[in-house]
Amino acid sequence: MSEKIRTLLRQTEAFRNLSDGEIEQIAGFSTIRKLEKSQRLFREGEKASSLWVVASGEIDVRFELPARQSSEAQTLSTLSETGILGWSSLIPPYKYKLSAYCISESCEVIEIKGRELLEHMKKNPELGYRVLSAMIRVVGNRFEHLQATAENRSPL
Amino acid sequence: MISLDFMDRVEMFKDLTDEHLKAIQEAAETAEYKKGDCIFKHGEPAEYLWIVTEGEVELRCESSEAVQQGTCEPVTFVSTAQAFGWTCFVPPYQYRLSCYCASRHCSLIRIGKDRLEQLFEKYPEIGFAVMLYTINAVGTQFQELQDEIARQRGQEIMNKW
Repeated sequence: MSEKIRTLLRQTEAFRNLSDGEIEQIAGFSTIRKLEKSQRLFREGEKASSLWVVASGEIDVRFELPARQSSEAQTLSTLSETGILGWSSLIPPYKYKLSAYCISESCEVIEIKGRELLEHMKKNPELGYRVLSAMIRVVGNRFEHLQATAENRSPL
Repeated sequence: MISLDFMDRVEMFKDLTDEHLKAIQEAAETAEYKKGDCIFKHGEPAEYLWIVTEGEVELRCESSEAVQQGTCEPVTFVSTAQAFGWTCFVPPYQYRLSCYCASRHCSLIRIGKDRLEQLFEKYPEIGFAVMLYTINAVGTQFQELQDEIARQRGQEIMNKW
């Protein structure tokens, strides 16, 4: 299982520039979690304690509506293998702003404890610099994509 | 030259040592503007990180489409010891907003992105501090954009009920 975590982390853009030893360190506080179709990974408003990397399957990131079951119409983005979600675990106030649901037959996700990752980066600022620079590129690209989608989208 | 005491007040440089602050101080250049002067325009290549040392600047969303969609704050003010222009670290490395001097006089310092990246190589602690601030800033903006899109789409869904 830990080999699977290391392999996936190596392929994830945020960790791609790390050495084998550095990947090993991050894998040390990472675990794999399995989800079934429609199972929720986290819900908006919950304490954001982890960053997640999709290992297999597809995860929808959705907003919730009162008194309504979650559906595809509430999806803002869909992530597949090596996609990363749960940025809120690195940003105050450390609360998830959206919910995440497994939408394929099954899903596997790598859970990286946000607090431990932040502490590890503080102790190893050179690694922290490389990881955060890569994460900023990922968030920046997603921001551009989301903004373009919002500006070009016709009403439902 | 800007004092170390001032550099210490800049949130982006929180927790850095005097040695680090001195290195940043040496890389910085000063720039002076008067009210209404344009400091940079939306869409220009983001080549500098900026810090206000005196006065106030206005970051203005000049994309009418983005304002209409509610995905861009029309006006934000930045005052003393606050940093802006962190999009120099974020793809597509362009300023997302236009910047104007909003007070009678604006004193700023600017640090070239290339110069900063050299500093990050030499002092990874500076790189980590600046990237941590930047991911907070871009992450917060990303979340705000998601919130706004979710609000609009939620409204559309509820209107169809």
